[in-house]
Amino acid sequence: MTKEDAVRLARAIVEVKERTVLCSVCFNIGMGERCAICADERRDGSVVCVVEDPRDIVAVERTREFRGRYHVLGGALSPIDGIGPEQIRVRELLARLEPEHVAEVILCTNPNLEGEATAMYLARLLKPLGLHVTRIASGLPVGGDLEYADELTLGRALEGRREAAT
Amino acid sequence: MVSGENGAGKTSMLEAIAYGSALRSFRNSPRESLVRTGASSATVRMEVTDGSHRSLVEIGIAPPARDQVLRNKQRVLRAQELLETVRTTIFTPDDMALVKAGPQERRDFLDDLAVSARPRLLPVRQAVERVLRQRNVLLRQAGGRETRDVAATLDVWDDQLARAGSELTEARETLVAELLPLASSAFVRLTNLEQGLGLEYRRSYDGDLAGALAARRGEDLRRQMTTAGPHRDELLVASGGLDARTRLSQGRQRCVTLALRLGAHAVVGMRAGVPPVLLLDDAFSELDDTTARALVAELPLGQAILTTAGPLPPGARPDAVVELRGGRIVA
Repeated sequence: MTKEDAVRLARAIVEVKERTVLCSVCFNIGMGERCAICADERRDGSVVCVVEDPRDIVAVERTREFRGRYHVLGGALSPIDGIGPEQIRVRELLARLEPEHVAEVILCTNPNLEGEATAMYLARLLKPLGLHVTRIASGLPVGGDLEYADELTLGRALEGRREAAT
Repeated sequence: MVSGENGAGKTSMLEAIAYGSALRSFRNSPRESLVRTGASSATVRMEVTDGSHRSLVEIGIAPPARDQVLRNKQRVLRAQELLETVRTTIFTPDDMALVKAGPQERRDFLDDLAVSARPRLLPVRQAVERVLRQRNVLLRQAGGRETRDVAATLDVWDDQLARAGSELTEARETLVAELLPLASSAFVRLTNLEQGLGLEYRRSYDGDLAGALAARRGEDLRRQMTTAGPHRDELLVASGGLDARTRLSQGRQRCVTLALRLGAHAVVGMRAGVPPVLLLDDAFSELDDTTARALVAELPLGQAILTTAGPLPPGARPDAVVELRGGRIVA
């Protein structure tokens, strides 16, 4: 790396640090008080997709399948790491529901142990409030082969089966 | 057969082969100790032939980074894919722990067997271990008090444990049923006794695990540990009605161990369609001549790699003899 490149890289890192902030609504990374998604009036505010990390928003956005808004928890329940409900932004999520007229919450945490536990925790908390709470499906990779699926994945795929398209 | 003096690297060679099938050491060595002192990384490279199918397995070990696993130069993302490529059964002098030590050894034996016979159980086993750690830490953090947050989070960990734990328990019970006749007949042949082995899997709870976790929540909170689940179940081994752990002679215990390993080897072979590679690390050194001969006669068809610091076991006819010195093959 030349010295100029090193200086440019260092400046870029400082610039990121100085100019990006967490969105005050959803805790996504943004450049102002509200992130680009929260500021976009065309997005459907009645559907909130709950993710663990801002990077997960990038992943969901790439699908172009989702037109609602997001909520970033900043982690998943994990007592080993000292993370309980107080450490992820559950209270902030609850505070958004009424003012934003949220009708559906999509639980989009990682399909691992901690992500599943977090999703289940949130579902039990949100459902009694009369919200429509959904969990993203876990299942077989598109283009995959049943024979090579592990039993957990295949089991989840069976649990989450749906009416066949005709 | 691999020969060489003590410290020549015989066990390390078997350990490398076994690592290539399970990504863990049968000596339970931490990964750091698999790398030679002064070196930054270790590599295991092996060619596996299964019928007409050949694969090249390469594993780069450079802790604390995760292992780099390649099969035919392609990244392998899940350990279970490797388990499906190479299977191994291992016999070591430390095996006596299987009979003599506490129930954990026998649970590990069953879980190793479960994963080897059905690699798809690997994520289930890992989930049980992880959820137990999470739940136990939460119980300690709770300090005996069931606040609303504690109750709500325990609920979700209980649910995860009940799912994965029940699946693991059922898999263990199925395997014990498959293992029993195979291990028992091997025991009869090794000992010339009429009585075979008795195996009994005993759960640590009655009814279903979800119910047991709910019923014992108060006790779990007070004791700050999970008192029901697959980690508290027991595999009881007996011969002629006598508990193998406490009531059998040392010689008989050794035969019980060998019979369990041979039975497990047969179970995996039947499930996988090909017998695993049999690794015998100094397995004959403690056996009397009769038992050693009986074991050699038991060695199933398929590949067996055995190490010895002394002479050949009686009756063994190796296809190839490799001599190790100072960690290198010299002949």
